[in-house]
Amino acid sequence: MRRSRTVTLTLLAGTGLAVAACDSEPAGEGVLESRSACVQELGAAVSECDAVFRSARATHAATAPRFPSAEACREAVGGECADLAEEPRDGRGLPWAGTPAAVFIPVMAGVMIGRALSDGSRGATPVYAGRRPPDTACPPEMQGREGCPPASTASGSGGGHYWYSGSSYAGYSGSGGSGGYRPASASPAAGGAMARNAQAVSSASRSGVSASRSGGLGLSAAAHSGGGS
Amino acid sequence: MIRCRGAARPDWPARLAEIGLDYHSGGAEPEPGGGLWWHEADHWELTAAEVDVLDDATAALHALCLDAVDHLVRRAPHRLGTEFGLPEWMADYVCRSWLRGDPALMGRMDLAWDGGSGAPRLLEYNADTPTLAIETALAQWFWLEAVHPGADQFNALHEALLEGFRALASRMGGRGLHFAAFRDAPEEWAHSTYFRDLAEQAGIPTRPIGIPEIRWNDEAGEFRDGEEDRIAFLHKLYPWEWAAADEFGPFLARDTLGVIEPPWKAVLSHKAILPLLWERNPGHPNLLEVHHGPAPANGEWVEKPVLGREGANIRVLRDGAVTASTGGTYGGGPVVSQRRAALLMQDGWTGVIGSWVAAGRPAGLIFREAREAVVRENGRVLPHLFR
Repeated sequence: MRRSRTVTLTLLAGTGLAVAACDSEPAGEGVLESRSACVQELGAAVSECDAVFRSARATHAATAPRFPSAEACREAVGGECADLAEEPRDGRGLPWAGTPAAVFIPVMAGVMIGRALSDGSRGATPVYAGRRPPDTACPPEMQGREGCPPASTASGSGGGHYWYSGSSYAGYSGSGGSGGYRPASASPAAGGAMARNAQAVSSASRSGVSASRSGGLGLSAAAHSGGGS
Repeated sequence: MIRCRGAARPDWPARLAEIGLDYHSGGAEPEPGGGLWWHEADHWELTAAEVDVLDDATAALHALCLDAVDHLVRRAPHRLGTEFGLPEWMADYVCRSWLRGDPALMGRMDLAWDGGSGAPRLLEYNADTPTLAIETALAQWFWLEAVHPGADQFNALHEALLEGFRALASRMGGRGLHFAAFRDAPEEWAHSTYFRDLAEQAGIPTRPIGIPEIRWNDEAGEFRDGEEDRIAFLHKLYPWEWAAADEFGPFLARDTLGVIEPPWKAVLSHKAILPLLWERNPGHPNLLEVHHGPAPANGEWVEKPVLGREGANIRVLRDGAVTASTGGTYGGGPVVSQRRAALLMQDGWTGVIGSWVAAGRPAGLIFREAREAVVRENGRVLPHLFR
């Protein structure tokens, strides 16, 4: 046999679950609160639902907004919170492993599978009960850095009863353009070297990349239809 | 090779959407047999012997290509400037990246072959920013599973790419890999997401980024993303020749980040590699005769811009007269002239065989076809199988 024996996808539009197990469409916008709900609603095997939740939990621990105390966390999200140190550390040795103690994150209420994210990707995204906090929490890789947290407005992704954190190093592009905990901000010191180019890029770019965003690559694409071949 | 007619799966758009291929119709209303881009009602059927021929040709051509890069870097670096038009900093960067062994992941050759007694011939090598990976590794794989489960397919691309990313992971020291593409180019963004998916499965932390969002930080001397995090490794769907022409391109050569595909791939995706391959291996059965400059007055030739893409700005000539041509945005620059090859032709369709190299070995096939003499980016993609 000269073809791949198995093909598993986790980020691209279909989940591994969807392509491996079912002929029917996976659940759309639904939030699955438990493995048993996953098995029941998707008709998937227990092991596959285990994998979904394991992946979501790893993403959760790596990407959930951080708070210095349980009170601050509860106040921000209006829901239950937990000490990050208590989170199970299965997964792939994600960056929270070295995080200092006394970090609190909201409790994961379930996972969302389906076409829910703005870039069209699907995945087992952790979701939280309550309300999305303002974007003042730091993503894990920013802990301890100067200037964290920056002040900015909340993008309010998710909405309704559940919300998701919107961006993570594990690879989920978030809702609303900047796709993160805070908008991409061009700091004068950092953007200076490329300022001239950034102007050219923003005027030449082929989409709605805002003029205020600093750019680096892309100028030479202006005349062509794309970079692939 | 036989072009077989059949019927598309009734729900083919939904099946493709599951694997991220939602650009199958280029915005037009899908037809029953397939979209403007993906067409699964028909397929190509090969024999195992034909697959062997294509497999061997791809391996041989890839080896010739690596030999040509090595020759350029070690023996003739001046030609990187004179023939490939690389600025000096880029030529040095290419040489460094080759000599220190910067890893490469993938490339797709376009081969001309009609299945007859002649050998498959290299038309060009998309070694830098190949697309059609989703169509090859996923769309036709799932098509085969669903429609012809008993048949085989020369298509280990998914596994080979995964193997490539695992090998890469071992060299990355646990650091993350940014995946850059244009957010508003659906095909390219989907491909970047697919490659990111594979990287994640290989244990590499990833982050997507739009190409214009990549920034150079002068103080720190490093590239950063929109969140001010350092870009230590970058996978880009942005051709090297464009990066080399960008004002900030020289910052790349400061070597503060590892890039996939590596700088030395700039040489293979440039059509000046074609006359060099012929020069070093004249008469090789898998090569076409190629020269720099306009087509000679006698014979059948195809003129291509050295930095053209996707079949743009091509002229087909017979004895000096143009018999077919395409427009595009790549005209006006230097050209190479390649002997016209016998392409696959059946049912009024002209076919080009895409042949993948991943993890350093031939990894699978994908077919493209068009009604015209030149298969362009608006040609359509068909699955294949062999028995």
